[in-house]
Amino acid sequence: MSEERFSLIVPKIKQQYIYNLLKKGKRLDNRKFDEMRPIKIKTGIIPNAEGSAEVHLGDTIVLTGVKISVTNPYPDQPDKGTLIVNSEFPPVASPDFEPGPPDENAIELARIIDRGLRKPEAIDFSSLCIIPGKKVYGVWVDIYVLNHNGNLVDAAGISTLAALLNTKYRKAEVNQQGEVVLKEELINLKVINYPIYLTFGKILDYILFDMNLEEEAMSQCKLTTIISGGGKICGLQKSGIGYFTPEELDYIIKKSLSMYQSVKDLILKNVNI
Amino acid sequence: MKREIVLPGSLLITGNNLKAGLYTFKEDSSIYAGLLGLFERDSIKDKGVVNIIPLKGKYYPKEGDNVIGIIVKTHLFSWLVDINSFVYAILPFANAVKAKGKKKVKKFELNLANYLSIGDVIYAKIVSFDRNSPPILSLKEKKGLGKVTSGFLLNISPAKIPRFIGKKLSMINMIREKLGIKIIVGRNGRIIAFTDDENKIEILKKIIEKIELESHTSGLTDRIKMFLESVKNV
Repeated sequence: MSEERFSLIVPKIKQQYIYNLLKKGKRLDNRKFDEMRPIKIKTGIIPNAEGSAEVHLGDTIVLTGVKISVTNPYPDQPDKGTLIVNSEFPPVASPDFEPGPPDENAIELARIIDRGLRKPEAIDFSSLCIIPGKKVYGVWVDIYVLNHNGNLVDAAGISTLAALLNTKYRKAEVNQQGEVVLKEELINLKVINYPIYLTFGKILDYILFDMNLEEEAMSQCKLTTIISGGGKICGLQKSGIGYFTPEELDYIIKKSLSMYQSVKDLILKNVNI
Repeated sequence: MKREIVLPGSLLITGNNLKAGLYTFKEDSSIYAGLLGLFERDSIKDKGVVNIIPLKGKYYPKEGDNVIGIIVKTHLFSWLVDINSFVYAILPFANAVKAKGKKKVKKFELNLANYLSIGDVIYAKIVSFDRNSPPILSLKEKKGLGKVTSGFLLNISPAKIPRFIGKKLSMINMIREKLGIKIIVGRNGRIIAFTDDENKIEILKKIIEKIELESHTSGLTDRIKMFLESVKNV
């Protein structure tokens, strides 16, 4: 019995206090319903990776590393680079995380981030072709959650974008024998679309943006919008057992579209490219 | 009152007639630290008991302590309670529900959540804690124990609770009087203030912060008293 562990349980008197605050239009940390927590971004912190970034979103900390290596292309896209997004929730980040392979939450996070990078072509995958049909660059994105205080998706989205913008890889040339040789010269990864991930949650009838751990524990459901390509929705992910009404869905989508530019500018301002 | 920070396993003192006190252990004639904490060399005195004041840490359960717990699970005949410790406590049904008059609670009902459910906050007494079982709680020992249905929950390091209470309740009673609110204190580092006034809650948060930082200094009660008097006029 003492080996059992319980996810964060918010005591009822605290829930009551938070509900009363919400009715007055306030949150426990004095933020507005659509206000993001303070962001800190550090890039290039992993010397061995081609690109890396660590993001603090409030007390949530996520680290993304980008590795680029020469690999074979996918058969159905012979002249484009490949992409694999992986995410891990190590036990150091939260008492809720167990050691072992990524669980469904970690996998879900990786897939959400992937959705904003792949189809909308955040990276110019064609520029990663070396020998069409034979050799291309493969992009490996690894996301590590270092501290969980809510809204891992948005933090992972910011750290991934910052890491990609920071990525430099060795130029490949094909020698006379037809082999791929990596030169010393470094080229910047061509990031042509900036995906922004915005997660909203629902507590009672209130929609809150960028929830911290306690708010997440009290929420019925969450919706992440992925916006890219100069302000278009390119993905949605809804999780949790609750539901959103059509009006709430409408509100979240409109809100995301209006927030896209300012959030993007905030990230770019904090990343020294 | 020189205090040094010691790491777990660091040698504190070697000598005869020394006893390992709180959060320390003895090997041969040396006493070592068992926790990250503060060690005051002058505190050893005549009795030879070596103690350490933990800097942080979970609550160490003790029989007789009043604690503020959160129900995390319902079992068939008991509840599992989080008391901010390295072990969960158990509240048996028999210790929670009072029988009214002659009618004893004998009829078996499946749903224990009718009485207390997950997330409920309780003010309980630890009636037993030893090698036989995890801490056992009771709500029936004294008046004032039971389910807490309102109030604002605050956290403080369990090691600072004695300072928050003060000698002979000097600090806590002074805070209660100056703020004019009811406050209950759990030895496990949890405090509940019964007020809706956001200003009073902010003041209480500042007091807790002050106590956590300055608990080892003298004259703290007077400084807190002056602080309370200054904010009262705002």
